[in-house]
Amino acid sequence: MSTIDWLVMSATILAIVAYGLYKSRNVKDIRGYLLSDKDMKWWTIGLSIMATQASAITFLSTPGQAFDDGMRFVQFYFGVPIAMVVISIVAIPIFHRLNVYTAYEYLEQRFDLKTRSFTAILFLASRGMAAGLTIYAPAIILSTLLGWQTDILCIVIGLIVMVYTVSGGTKAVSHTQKQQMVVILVGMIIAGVLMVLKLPADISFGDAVFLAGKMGKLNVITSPSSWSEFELKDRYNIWSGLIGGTFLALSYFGTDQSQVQRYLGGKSLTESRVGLLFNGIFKVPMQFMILFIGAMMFVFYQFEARPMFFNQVERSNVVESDYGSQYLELEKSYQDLNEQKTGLYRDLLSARETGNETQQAEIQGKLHSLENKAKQTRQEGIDLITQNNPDADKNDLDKVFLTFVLEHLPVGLIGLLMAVILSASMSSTSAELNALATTTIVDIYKRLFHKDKEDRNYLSASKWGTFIWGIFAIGFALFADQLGNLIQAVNILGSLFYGTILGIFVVAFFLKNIGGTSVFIGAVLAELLVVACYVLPLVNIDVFGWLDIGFLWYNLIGCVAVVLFSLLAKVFQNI
Amino acid sequence: MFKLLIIASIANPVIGAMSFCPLAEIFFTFALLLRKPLYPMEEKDENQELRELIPFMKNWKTFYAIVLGELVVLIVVFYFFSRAFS
Repeated sequence: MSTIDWLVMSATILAIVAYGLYKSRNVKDIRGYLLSDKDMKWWTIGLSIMATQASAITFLSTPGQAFDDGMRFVQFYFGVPIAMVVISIVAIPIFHRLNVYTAYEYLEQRFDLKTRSFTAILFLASRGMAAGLTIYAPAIILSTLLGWQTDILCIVIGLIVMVYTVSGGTKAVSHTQKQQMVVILVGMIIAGVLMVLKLPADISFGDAVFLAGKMGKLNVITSPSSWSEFELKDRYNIWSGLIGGTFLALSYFGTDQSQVQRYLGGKSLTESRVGLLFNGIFKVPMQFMILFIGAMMFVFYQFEARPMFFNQVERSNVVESDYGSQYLELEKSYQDLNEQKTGLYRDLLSARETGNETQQAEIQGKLHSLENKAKQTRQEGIDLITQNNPDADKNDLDKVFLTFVLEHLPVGLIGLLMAVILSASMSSTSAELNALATTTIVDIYKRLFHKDKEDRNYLSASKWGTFIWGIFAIGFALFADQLGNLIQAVNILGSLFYGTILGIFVVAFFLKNIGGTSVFIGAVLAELLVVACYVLPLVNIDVFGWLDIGFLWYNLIGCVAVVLFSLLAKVFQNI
Repeated sequence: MFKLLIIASIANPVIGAMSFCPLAEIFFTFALLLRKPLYPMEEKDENQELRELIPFMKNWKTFYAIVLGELVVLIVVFYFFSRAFS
């Protein structure tokens, strides 16, 4: 990166941090620190909610997802608007009326202390480790591409976040997220526009869209054509998006404290609701835009030399090994295939102009055949990388967008896009630390150990709580590279808990005759069921082949199981 | 309310198998969900507050309809977009 890029990136990040510190300078008590004095406007809430969900990985991986698999990933977000409406109708009025600090606080009023503590601990267990990964995941990608030290990057990101999150609490988090989201959106729009402008002179925007479509990258809506084709392990189709996605969004936005805290700070019920619905309106178009950038990036790299494998560190390792000559041969074949494709793309555009549909279909068939050969060659290259180093990172899709940024954007804009990625990482991490500290202090420290202390004691404890969770997150990020598959396990861990937590809240909101003991038994049994669904296929025990399903469905299973088991527990209690 | 959701979740796959299922899912579920306001006591004041914030919103149901309507429109547009460029 050039000096100008460094200046742009540093100035953007520091300005955002300074703004957050300035806006939160008057925080004097626990209400101000954890609920932002309930003075947030709807646009701050809306942008804050979007920024919390959008981690750096969202902006690094999502374009790569479209580059490889097309745009169908957008269906994953179809549940968001539905969930926003349900939460606005059902949850927000209750949270506001009870004036709670955390979503779990409500569970004690509705059920009992053990259900509140159980749910809070489920949240702390899953989100605590995820906070470390939110720092680690972008750090490892940036270090791979820029040669920066991963450890130093983790510490720098973590410390910057801690500076304003510890001092300003929720107010600082929400106000910085507003600025971060603006930087993110502006940066992504500029990157998208430049990507189209950088296409060869004879390829127009319309041509690029046409080619992306012909290569199957604009497959936004996918659905099995019949029930026999329906597969539960297919993560991204309209069914999993609408049903599984709705349950996931309901649990994430309605019961995850890192999101609930964003709208609890609303000036009024109306401001909170509008903020949440704002997210419901803009989330799907935003994801569509990011994926569309990925589809355009696919077209861009059809006319531009592209590496066979985007992770240059792993490439260098295999080239320098005994497999080097084999790998270089594969790279040459891959480039030859790409050159053949480039010629055919131009032929396809000519055929479109002449209106010759038979020729178009013929060229399209040839292109798909070459694309499959290129994929096969690439896979052989990845196999060599794995043979050389079994622990090598085989996924390079999260490096595609950043490679484009570093190699093709002008000086200054690279710095801005780096600021986008760091902003996204900081916005998610700050919300997580803020929520973890709030749950620890309000649901554990204050409720279980120090009930009647002075306000300043709780304020001080909250700051210490944020600080300790920050250190934990940085520590987890520093050791994450030694955890291997545990990282994947941590990600899955979150989806294993969400359904159960949502189920507890569904019972709380809708089944008025179910008490604390019944829901507690139901939640424990449901959690065991969800864990069994995940674990049994791993040890090759599968019930009728039904358990091999995408993780998105765990949310639905967990939620429904809590409801059913709670009802059964209630029936048995009455006998 | 919960009974309505149960009925909706059972009925949706049946409707979905026969027609353009995602649209049926959204319409059917929320037709049931919005049929009866959960908190009618607070609705009047909240609607007033909403009108002050966003002038063209008559009440919350209008807002919810816009959010869900946008989703339906997006799905339809995306569907034709996918077909047009495949």
